[in-house]
Amino acid sequence: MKSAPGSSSARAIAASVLEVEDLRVSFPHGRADRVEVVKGVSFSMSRGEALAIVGESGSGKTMTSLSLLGLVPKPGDMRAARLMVDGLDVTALGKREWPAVRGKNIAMVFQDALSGLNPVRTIGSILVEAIRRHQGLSTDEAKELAIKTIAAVGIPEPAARFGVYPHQLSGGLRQRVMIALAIVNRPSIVVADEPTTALDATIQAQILELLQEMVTDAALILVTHDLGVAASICDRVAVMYAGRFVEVGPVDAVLSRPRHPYTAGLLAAVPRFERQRKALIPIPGSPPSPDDVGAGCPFQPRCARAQDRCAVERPPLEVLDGHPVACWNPVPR
Amino acid sequence: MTEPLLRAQDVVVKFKVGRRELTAVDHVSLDVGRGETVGLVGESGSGKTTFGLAVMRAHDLDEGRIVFDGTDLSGLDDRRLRPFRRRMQMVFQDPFASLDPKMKVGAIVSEPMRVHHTGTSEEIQERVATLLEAVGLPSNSVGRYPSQFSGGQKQRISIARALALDPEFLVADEPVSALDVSIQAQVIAVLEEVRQRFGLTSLVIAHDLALVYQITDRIAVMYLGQIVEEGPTDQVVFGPLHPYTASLLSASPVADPELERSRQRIVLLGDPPSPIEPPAACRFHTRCPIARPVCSTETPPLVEVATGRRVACHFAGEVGPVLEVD
Repeated sequence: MKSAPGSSSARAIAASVLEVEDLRVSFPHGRADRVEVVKGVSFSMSRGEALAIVGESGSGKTMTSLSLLGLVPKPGDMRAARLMVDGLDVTALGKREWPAVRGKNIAMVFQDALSGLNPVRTIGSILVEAIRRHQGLSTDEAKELAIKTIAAVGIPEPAARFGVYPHQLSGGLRQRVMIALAIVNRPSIVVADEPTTALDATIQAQILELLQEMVTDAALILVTHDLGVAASICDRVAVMYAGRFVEVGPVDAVLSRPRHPYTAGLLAAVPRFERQRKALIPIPGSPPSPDDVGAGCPFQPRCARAQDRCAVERPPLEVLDGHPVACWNPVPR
Repeated sequence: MTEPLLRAQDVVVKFKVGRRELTAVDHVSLDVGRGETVGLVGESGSGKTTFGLAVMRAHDLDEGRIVFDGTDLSGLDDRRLRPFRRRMQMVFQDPFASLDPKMKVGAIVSEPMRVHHTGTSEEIQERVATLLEAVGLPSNSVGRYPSQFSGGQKQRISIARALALDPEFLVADEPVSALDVSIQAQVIAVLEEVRQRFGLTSLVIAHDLALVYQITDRIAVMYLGQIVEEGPTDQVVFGPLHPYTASLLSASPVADPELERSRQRIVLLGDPPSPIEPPAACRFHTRCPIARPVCSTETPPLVEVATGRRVACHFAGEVGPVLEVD
């Protein structure tokens, strides 16, 4: 991968460590059709930045994140106008070229560490293999680095834990191993897809804190359904609905003063600790199915602010005094 | 004061795990007054679901009593329990697993009435229509199958079924945690509405403290099989006395950047211990931010510090409040 044309100079010039332009993921549907589950997503990230991609099931958030590592499952198809990962053009990268990038330039933390880790390998050997694949270290050096990393992610008795199998660890410790595996080759981008959803609240807090501590130099993408998790460790948030980003901006702006009616609706629908308890305001209806390709705004059927135009013309993602919002009739400031 | 509708006294439930024994519920006492909504909060392994099943007498008790409307249910056999089963119903977490995919919605909702012979088929049909309307489902739902409904709608069907026999008491175990965020509020609204309309008393079991804060009058917090704190919802949330409650409040993610910044952060060390071998004395001492030597040698009793306010901690009130934003 080091020989990819222009990669080193591109890396030196570009401030962005990740550039995504018009990313689309589709799956076959019926006989001749394809249905898009990611319908043109664009964003870029710099080192040290933490972006939350927030959405509900079916919003396309997971497919967006898998695309960045070339992991869209068959028979899915990913294409993009531009996809630069750590200065490398991966738009047309083949199946056999991805392993050199994955884990080295960009790494992933999955929701379920039990299925993300090979069950018949000890955590030490999983780490050593990952290290040796990307770094020119001897087995002993790799082992030393593995134990150091196990310790760094807060696993007690790292040398003893080197020889245990994933199932012998608790869910929280397994997720720490996943994080160790993700950071051990110092990638420029770490993608964490619902890394704490399967965990209890007190363990979730530990893992979020660990992610924040360990991923400082790289760019972090946190994929979550939980606005609270997004608020806890990210600087920016992208709200996804029906395959597209509908609002992108600083966490404070988006969560304190949302402009898109969907973002505002989500915030009004989740319980929070306010001295005066207010009734939750549900969003009526449910999200559209991906093959439902109307001309208008996909949120329009559920939207209290919808106007005539919303049913016939889809609003583009445009900067509205401050941050991008895709809405014809945004919530007033 | 009038007698509570439900009174659980010193309930103990044990499981066999291989050759060992796990005490899932360890001497838990809890009252739920008529018309009250009580929240039972805890993480996995805390015993909250097992306690809910024991209350419903869907699980046998090893010790203790469940007194419902003045009658001790603990010793009753199935036949004598039957009239009480009508009056107590349960809504489960997973609407996908709890509805028979081969039954139409009309049959699912009417089944409890048919089993208990509560009326003529016209009366039953009428009741089904009322219930579907109450949970916000269209009347033509009766002829459709569960698979034709979304997760939120399935949970509405479960709620309608739970209300079929006009119960007084409803246990809801994680009623919205399997649903998408935008749908959760819909189901919470339905639960609130039917609670008022049918005058229900309820026990809501959940891991999500913010959700429980939203819908309950009182909260009990469980850790490794025991209640560690109990009190009026406002007091528990804004003035937690037990360090575990404080840490849960600190850990529950809230979509409020200002609160995220201002609230006290307490990140507990380590994992919850195994309920098979709980720590001696105070079970929380291995993870507690303020534990002292006495915590590992003496069990703190659950003491009433004010009316309806109980806590089990040698140093109650030393941590918290964590949520003050004003």
